[in-house]
Amino acid sequence: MNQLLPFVVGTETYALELIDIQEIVENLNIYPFPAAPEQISGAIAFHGRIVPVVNLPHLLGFNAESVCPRLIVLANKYGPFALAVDQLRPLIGMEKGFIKDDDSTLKQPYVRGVFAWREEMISLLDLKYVEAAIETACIS
Amino acid sequence: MDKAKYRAMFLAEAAEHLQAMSEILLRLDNDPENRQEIDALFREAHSIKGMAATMEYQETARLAHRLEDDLDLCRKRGHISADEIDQMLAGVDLLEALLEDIKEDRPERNVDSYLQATGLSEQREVELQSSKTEVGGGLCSTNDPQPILVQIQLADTVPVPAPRLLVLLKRMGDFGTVLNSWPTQEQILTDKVNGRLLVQLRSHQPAEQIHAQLATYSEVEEISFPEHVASSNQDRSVLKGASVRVSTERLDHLINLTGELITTRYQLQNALKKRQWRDLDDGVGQLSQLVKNLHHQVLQVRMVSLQALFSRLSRTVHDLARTSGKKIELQTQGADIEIDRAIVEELVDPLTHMIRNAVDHGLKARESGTIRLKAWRDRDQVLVQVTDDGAGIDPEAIRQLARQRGLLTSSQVKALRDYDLYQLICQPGFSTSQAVTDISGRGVGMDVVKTTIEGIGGLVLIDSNLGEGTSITLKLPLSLAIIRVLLIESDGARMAIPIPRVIQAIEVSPTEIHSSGKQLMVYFQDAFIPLLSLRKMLNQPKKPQGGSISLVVSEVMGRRVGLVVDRLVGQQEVFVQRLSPPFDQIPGCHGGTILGDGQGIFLLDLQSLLERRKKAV
Repeated sequence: MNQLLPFVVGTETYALELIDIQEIVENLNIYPFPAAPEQISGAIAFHGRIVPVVNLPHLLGFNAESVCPRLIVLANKYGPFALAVDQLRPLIGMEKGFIKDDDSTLKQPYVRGVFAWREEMISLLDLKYVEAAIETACIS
Repeated sequence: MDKAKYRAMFLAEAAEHLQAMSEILLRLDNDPENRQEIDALFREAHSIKGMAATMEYQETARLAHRLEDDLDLCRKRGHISADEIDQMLAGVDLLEALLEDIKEDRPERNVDSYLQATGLSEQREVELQSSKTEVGGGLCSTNDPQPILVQIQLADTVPVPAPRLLVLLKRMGDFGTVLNSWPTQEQILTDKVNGRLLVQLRSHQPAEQIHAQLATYSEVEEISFPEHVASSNQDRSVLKGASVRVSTERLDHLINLTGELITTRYQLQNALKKRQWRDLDDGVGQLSQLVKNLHHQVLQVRMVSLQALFSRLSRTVHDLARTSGKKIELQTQGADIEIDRAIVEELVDPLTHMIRNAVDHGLKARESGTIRLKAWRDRDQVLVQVTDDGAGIDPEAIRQLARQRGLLTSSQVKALRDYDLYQLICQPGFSTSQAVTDISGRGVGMDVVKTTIEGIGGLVLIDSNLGEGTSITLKLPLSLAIIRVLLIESDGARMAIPIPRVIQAIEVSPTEIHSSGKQLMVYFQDAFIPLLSLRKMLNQPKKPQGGSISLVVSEVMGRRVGLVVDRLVGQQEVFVQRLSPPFDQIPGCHGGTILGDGQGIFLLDLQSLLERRKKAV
């Protein structure tokens, strides 16, 4: 059984595996970086550490004017950093092998796979792509 | 015997003995008949020999044994000659190289050539005379030749460099054994290349021959044999190490503090159980004192004195004096000043370079001179200064060169004060030396010095008087983790600037602002400095006019500037957290910190902020 956390970005629903997530925080004060690229909102003081926050809708190229008050702090192997998203959904459990790999030509580069849950389409986010996109944003 | 278990201990102790040996040798250079020093030197060599023999490091033991024998002769004779000191120093160098071999788990290099080339015993004196020419070069060459570095730069016109580099890398294999290459073969195959290839090669062929054969390839633009990398790595090895040696006194302090913390915990638990608020209050007060103390002590563990670095530099001066044939006196002061280990490591290359500069340029036309190496503490900064009593920097020569190189216009050159002019020598590629010698070319390295020092949050100040000498001062933070910062505010956001980067924080009235074209200037100390608006640099909205103007005077890219901020908030000591990659690449930000009230703030990096703006324009 895989536990997944679905969340809303723009008009679409994405998900991350629970194992990649350290904590969910809300309404924390985000301190802006002095001269950061737009995709990076700033950083939070999280358990005594400075943890950068990435605006996920913006990073994925959605037209994002929203505030994104919900932060998903990723597990330590990623950074750590937090992804800001619009809205969170309750956890769901999926059987192993819930993702079919065959339709890979159609999906976006940041999607690891697409699956259906209660007649809704959910895309599993590819964190490797997200990391690479952040790197590009930081360096340019 | 379980060798691996004792190896680290052996390496650490042997390194200490070697450092002691080179320190004594340098002292003996000025006082060659000091029997006590010769005796001490003998004992150090004897200790190394004994340790190496126990550990069954044969070559190390053989070499140490030879040094011990030679010193025994000196001891009986009661003095040591300058040549002997040089030979001993070369022996110490070779021992260091052997320790490096042991550390890297390589077989020890052969020491035969040293044993054959040198020898102080009277019987071998004739031999010594005839083989003297070999002493310099021959010392390092063992049966296996020393690896060399070969760097190849392809012409810009080569459209796809990867296949060419692959061919060249293969060709290198014909000259001898390729030990390392940057980029590696795999990287070349995946096309991660930029037309430059650096190869570490063990070859029996002389460099000229390799050069000649490589030069036959038409795409090759430049072939060089850099030597710097290997030697500077060796320099560092003395200071660097994965483990830290902590004095037992400091450890005892830490243990005592932990003991007190445990006691306080019981007090607090007790007070809580009995609901005695007064005791609870006392306990918390005590706890915060202890935590503060503990924090201080833990930081102390990272602090090391400048002693090892200074003795390294004494050795550099000694070697330079020998190669240049000048009589150079080195005066050191403040070697006991303590500073964060990581900072000391960063200081090795810059200071070596500054000393070379002082000898090569400052004392250029002189037979003798004095170099002063001084360190002192000023509140929470450490200052390290290299002063020579040589020729000084000629401001006119710099003015002329700055015009020629197109760095400044004629009017700018005239307006620039001498002090600001000197900072120009830190610009990449700026050299006033007509002939760049093998020791150094001023300007080739000063930009590297500046980049390194500013990278650790410090500042380079250059001062010179023509005919009297040059003095270069490094202003450094005590620790990389805890630093003092100036808090400022811009458009409601608080930010911090490390204190070593701040020359002065001042308030000026609008009437003191002058304008030249679009550029606003203010008179500070004895010159006009340009004003930069932080809001503009951060793309924040303009501040409504009114009242006095807060300025932070700092130095960016060698020039003094006045940074206009909304408000100067105050000074504070903060614990800096580096951002994890790739966030550390964001320009303008050195790292972050969390203030006592839980607020997160960032450390401004003016240099990278300005560079980015320049690029954007």
